Amino acid sequence: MAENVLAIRENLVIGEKSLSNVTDDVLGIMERKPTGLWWFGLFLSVSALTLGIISIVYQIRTGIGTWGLNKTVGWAFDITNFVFWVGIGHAGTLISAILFLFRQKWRTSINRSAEAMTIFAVMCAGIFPIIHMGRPWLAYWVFPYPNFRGPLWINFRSPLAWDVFAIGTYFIISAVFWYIGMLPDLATVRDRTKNKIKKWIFTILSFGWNGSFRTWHRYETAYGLLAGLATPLVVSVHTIVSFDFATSSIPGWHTTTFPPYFVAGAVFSGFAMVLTLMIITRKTLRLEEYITKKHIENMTKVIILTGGIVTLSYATEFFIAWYSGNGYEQFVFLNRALGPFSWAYWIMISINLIVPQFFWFKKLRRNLVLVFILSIVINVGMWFERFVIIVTSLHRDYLPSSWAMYKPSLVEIGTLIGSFGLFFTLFLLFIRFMPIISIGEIKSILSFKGSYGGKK
Amino acid sequence: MKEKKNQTQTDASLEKKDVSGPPDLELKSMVTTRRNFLKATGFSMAAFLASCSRAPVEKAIPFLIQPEEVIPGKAYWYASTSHSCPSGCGVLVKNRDGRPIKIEGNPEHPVSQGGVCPVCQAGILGLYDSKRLFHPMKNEKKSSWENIDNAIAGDINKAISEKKDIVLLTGTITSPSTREYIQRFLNKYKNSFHYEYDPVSYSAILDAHKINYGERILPGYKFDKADLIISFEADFLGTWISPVQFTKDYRKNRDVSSNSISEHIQIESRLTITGSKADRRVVLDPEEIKGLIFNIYQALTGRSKDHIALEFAEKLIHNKGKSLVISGINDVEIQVMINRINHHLNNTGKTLDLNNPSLQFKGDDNSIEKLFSKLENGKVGILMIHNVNPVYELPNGENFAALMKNIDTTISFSSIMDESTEKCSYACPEPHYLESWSDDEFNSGIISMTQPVIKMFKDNRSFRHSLAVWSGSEKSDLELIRDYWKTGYKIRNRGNESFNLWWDKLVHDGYTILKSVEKTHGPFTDGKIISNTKIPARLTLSAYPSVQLLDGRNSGNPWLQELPDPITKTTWDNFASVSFEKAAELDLKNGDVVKISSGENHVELPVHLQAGQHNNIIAVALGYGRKGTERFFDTGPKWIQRKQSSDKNSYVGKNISPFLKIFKNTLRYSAIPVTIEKTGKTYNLAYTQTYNSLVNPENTAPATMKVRPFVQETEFVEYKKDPSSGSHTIHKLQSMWKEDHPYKDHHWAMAIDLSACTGCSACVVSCQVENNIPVVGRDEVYRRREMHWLRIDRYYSGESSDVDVSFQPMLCQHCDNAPCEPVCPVLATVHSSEGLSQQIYNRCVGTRFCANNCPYKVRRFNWFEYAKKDNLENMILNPDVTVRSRGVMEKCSMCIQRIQEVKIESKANGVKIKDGDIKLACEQSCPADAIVFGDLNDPESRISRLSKDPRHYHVLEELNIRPAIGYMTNIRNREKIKRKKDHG
Amino acid sequence: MDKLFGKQLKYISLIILVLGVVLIISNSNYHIPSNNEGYQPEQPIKFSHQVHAGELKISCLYCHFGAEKSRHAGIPALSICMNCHKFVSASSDSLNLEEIQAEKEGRDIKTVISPEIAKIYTALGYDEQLQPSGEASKPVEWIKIHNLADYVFFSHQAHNNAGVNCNECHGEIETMEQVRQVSDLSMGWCLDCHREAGENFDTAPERTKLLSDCSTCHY
Repeated sequence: MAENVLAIRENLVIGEKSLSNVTDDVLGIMERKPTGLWWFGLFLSVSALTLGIISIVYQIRTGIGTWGLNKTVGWAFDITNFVFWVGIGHAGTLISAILFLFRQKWRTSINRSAEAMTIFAVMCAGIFPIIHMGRPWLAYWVFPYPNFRGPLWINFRSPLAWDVFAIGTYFIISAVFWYIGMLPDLATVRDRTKNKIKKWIFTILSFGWNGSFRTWHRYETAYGLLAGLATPLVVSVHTIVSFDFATSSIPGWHTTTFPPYFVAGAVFSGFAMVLTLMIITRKTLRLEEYITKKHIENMTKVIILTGGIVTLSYATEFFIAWYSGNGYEQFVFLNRALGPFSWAYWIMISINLIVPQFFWFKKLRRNLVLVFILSIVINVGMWFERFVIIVTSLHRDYLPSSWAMYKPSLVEIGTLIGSFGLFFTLFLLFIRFMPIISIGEIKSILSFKGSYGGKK
Repeated sequence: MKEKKNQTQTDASLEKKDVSGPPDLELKSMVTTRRNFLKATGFSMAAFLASCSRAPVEKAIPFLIQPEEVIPGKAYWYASTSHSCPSGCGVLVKNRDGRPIKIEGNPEHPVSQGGVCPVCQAGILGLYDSKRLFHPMKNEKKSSWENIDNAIAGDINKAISEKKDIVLLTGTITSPSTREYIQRFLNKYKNSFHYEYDPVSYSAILDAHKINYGERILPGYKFDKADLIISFEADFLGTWISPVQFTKDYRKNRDVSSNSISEHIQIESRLTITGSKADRRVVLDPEEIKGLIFNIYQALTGRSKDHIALEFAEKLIHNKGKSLVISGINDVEIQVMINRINHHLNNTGKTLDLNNPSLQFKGDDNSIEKLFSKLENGKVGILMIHNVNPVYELPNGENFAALMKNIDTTISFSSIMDESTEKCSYACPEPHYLESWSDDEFNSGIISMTQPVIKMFKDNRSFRHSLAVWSGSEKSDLELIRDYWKTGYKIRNRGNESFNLWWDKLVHDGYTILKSVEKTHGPFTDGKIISNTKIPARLTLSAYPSVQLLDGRNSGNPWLQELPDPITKTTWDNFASVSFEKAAELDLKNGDVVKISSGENHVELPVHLQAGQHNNIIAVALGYGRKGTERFFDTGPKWIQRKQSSDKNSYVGKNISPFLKIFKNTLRYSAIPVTIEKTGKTYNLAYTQTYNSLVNPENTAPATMKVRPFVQETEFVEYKKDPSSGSHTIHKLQSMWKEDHPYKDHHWAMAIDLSACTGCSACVVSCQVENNIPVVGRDEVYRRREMHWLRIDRYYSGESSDVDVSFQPMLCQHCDNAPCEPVCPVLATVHSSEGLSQQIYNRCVGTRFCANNCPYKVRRFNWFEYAKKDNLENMILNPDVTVRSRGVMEKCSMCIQRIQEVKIESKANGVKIKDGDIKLACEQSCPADAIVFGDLNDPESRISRLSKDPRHYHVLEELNIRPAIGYMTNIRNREKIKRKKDHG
Repeated sequence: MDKLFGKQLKYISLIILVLGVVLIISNSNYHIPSNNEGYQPEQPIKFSHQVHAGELKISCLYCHFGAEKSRHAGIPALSICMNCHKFVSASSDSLNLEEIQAEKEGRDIKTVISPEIAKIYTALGYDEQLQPSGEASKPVEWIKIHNLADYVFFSHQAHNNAGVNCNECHGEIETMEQVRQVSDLSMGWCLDCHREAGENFDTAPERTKLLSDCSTCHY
């Protein structure tokens, strides 16, 4: 399926790659010894992970009191991290599912690592609903299993119960979608490797893939089906996560704009994380020719769009508060902007409003160092957005007698660092042991000028 | 002296057979209690398979001999009298399986009239205090009563032979029999003297009556008969003399449905709960108050020009014979002026009764001077200290301790190791009042009985019994009392039934009315002329008894230490409260530590900015910094970032009594000149409420809602014109959805009258006793995690000194469309078919979404395992209420255990539940009858009547969550004053 | 052929394995952790309900009088046992046996005390002649059989007065030599009655059908 080269459109894979070049470049990473930088990255993230594990185990053994929460602010870091990590996951599914249905060719080089990022983000997110419970050893009560108590089911009207189903489905579908997409490449690794154990492992992993026409045909249909299934997830999961707040009666939470606002925020912070990861991996693993500046540019365009939606949502919240004439609503937003937590609010507003505007200029979109820095800043802004929504609405709501301040405890900060530790540890292991670019799809978009040989 | 068994045959039948045995039986710590076993199985699914084995074996151990009236699981009640504070309210003690677990006011008792204050509610915990002294001690070594009695007998003989004096230093003795045995002891040993003083002294009132009427009398104040009350610095609803009785009487004359209610004017220097209920409040410092009283007397006799005095005088003349003027300042001159004013208005005999006066306080301050002079000249051989703690309470406490050294025998009867007992050679600890016999006459003519409701834990002996033994009697405590009354009852009893019948009726009812035996007082004489000397304004200290700790005798009680102060909302510490202007002047903020010094006394205290306080005074609470509170240094859970309540062996708060001074032979608590300077250090006070007004903060106040409409207030005049005046509800809420709670059977609801609530917090402690609510410690309260299910929100409105205060008890509102119910993922909180929002502790996994979604923020979370491990203290737990473990949400359950008990009982007897059968713990304890609980489906119930009253409203009605708790508009008896930041 | 046979062998062995496990579980007394059905422990005194409730037809409420007035039915104090056992010190046939023996040997009849009843006397600190023997009395530590979780509030009074018969929950006690827990006392088992309580409980005044509120048993 050769594709004639148009002068005006840049090639998605530059450097006249031949088919075998692609395989060597991608699988070469797995065959080479990991570089010192990789070990250093692993050391950092594993130490962060152990700090997280210590904090979580200490908190579960001693009590939620080791966090800085109180009777007025019942959630803070725990649910902020949960929404933050679930939000980051959404970009991966969008890239691999929605852009697949839109036949966006540029997604091929980044879709697998984005999908991997989704799974790791959802794993980080999945910890928090369990450890934020007062009695985590009874967390299984949230599932509707038949029991001897009459039977006593769960409360199907509770957004937290919906969360359980939403996050569960999301994790399963993205894992299956990611794994199915990787089958051809796992088979390639199985055929190339000499090492006995690695061959045995990848034989099992590749599910007996023999590359016959019938398998490819079934693979394509399966991949298309799963993409179709995963597409609604991008919207539904974060809608349900936003219902944790939208269905409540707290001013500042109880607004109908939350679902689109949260989904846009999710894609916004998700793409920022993809950018952060991709700019680093393309540099260190020498994949500049596959993840070109064109890909980075496309992603920054999505950030402009979703950044705009998020800013619109902030404005809508203020307008509706003013328009509704409801004193409590107006107070919440005035308190956010001018009250004790106004520092967090202004961090959030300045980042989510100003940073996307940089990407209107082509030169800035192509300046990778700037894009890398801005992607990290966006994620900081988005973390604060969730923090502001949760804590400022809780700490001063209806009755002034219960107004209280919130200050994070060391254990909470340790848990946050731990969640980042887990995410980067998993991602670094993924880079080391799995093909990070889907070779099959890249090969389908290579541009040929007549010769199949390509550079040796 | 043969040591007699403490109890004779007559009370053998009342012998309480302890099902659970003496408290020092360590509860066998099971290897695996069933709870841990189930928790383990819950945790590891693997145990699921390996669990064919049975749960661990549990034993059921019945009685040996079945006592008549004890059915395991059924509560039985005894009438008794509380000795937690000197006012002596009559109480009913609820016993469950052999141990007292709850105190309630005795409805028929003339002093308590059914209500009790927070100190009395928490007093029951003192019984189970493992730090109590259980054995007589000689030089801090445990010994038996035999050796002690022989040793003391020897010392007495030695003292007599050396012609040394024997001094009895006691608080007010209210028990007639004890007074009799003291008299016998004094007669037996010629050189023995008895001095009485009260830590919070009222001796100025008594001395003034000696001047004006020839007899030291503390009058019986009748607040129900007074149409006009002018109180100068007397917190009679909070701490002055007998607050519960005064609150009950005060409410009788403030029923807004009648066509006139009493007018209450309070002139004070610091904000008290009485001041917050006053119709008119004038802020003056103690010296100015003295001037005003003088002017009012002049104005009454037509010789003064001060316009306030003239206005008050005119009001007083208008209410001649129906008014009451009182003052809480311990200054004889002021009290003489007050007597003159009351006499001039011939109130005496109508609103204040001299014929059957109160005997609660008879302490004489100049006996302190006599005591010191006697101690100085070194003639004292034996000193006995009972019911007071002179080293801690007296201003010259230190040199009292020094003088004690050169007395050969010092005996203390205190039941806890306090400052004075520490220095005594002998300790003969008294039992707790719930395990002892006593007869008391707190108000003349009313004999209140105290009977043991539980077998004495170990080896205590009452003061009366010890005195009797040392004066040679061999009778038991009960016999001593009965002997006294065998003769006493004939003289004072109108009826002529037999002694035993009279005695049993007294023990059963808890009190009886007898002829008062007080000597008749002489005619009124003016007493000497008092000059009105002007004193230049200066910074003075005023020490006050706080509502929760009074004079500090209960400072070892964790419930009282954690009870938020009704006005300042602080817990666990005392502090220097300063007015806003003075703080601005000295550039002080909340929490700055200042050094207060007067003469060579210095103390460092954190600052608390207080509205409604005069600029020239610094108010500090008495009763803090007392020995016995060092046990609280590690109260509360242990985790890395925890700050201990106080460092290792320091006490909670600082003792301020060294600053007091004796001036013109009365103990002065106010007008003590002090200097104050910043120390630069800070100390965070543990507040339970940090934002004190219903007005939104300046910079974030939206245009549409400057003030939050949660407290409705109006004036009596406006109320009479339009009963729904002051109400915010604009329109009736229509709901799109059909009624989803049919409430066919009962529909429980509650109404709280904001006019009645004085903020005394008796309901908060009563709820804590009833529902096993844990104490969390200072650090947790500072982190806003206290566990009280019921909090009293105190909102200020108006400028800083001329401030209006409104109290609003806030508890779970049991809403019909409860926001907490749809959000719980595991159905741990669901609505009952009778209108209650149920919180099921064993189902809750602790996601805390319900707490976040509750607009009233009344849900409490167990952040840690707060339940205590002290087996003796756990005997106070109410067996009908689950003790919640870590990670579980809890809230007001509307005393569901009391509702169920009455429902089961009435179903068993086949009778319908009448209104008033079910009394919640808070409703029962409220001295102001502010809380009414009942069934809305019963048309004649009080709650149905109140819910139709136009004064009735709900907080946050506009959210359509339909709360079941209603509030009644707060009505003040004054003209309508438009205030700048009015939240009327 | 052998390939086919190999596959079939695999399936057959799988089915047998599953059947085996199901059989073992169903009839072993395997129960989930909190279910004590069939619990029949050894009591310190071999008290036989069959004799007392079955043959002598003593009413349950004679000993377990708590059931009428309180949430605990209660285990009787030894003073209640002594109401009869002050006179009855052994079973009637062992008394007749002693009479025959005494006649045969021509001596007068010795007081016969059965070992179980002797345990009551020693517990109360009495000697043979039922006089205080000076040793300390020690209450009998019966083993609790029907044991609900701490967080469940069960009131015998409510059930007793609602006309629920004792053996509906405790089974045929009057036929048991040794008391055994008949029902699993699980929440579902309670709710079976509580849900349809309204229809067939005639003696309960007012309504009883709304007994499925959580706070009926949990508070």
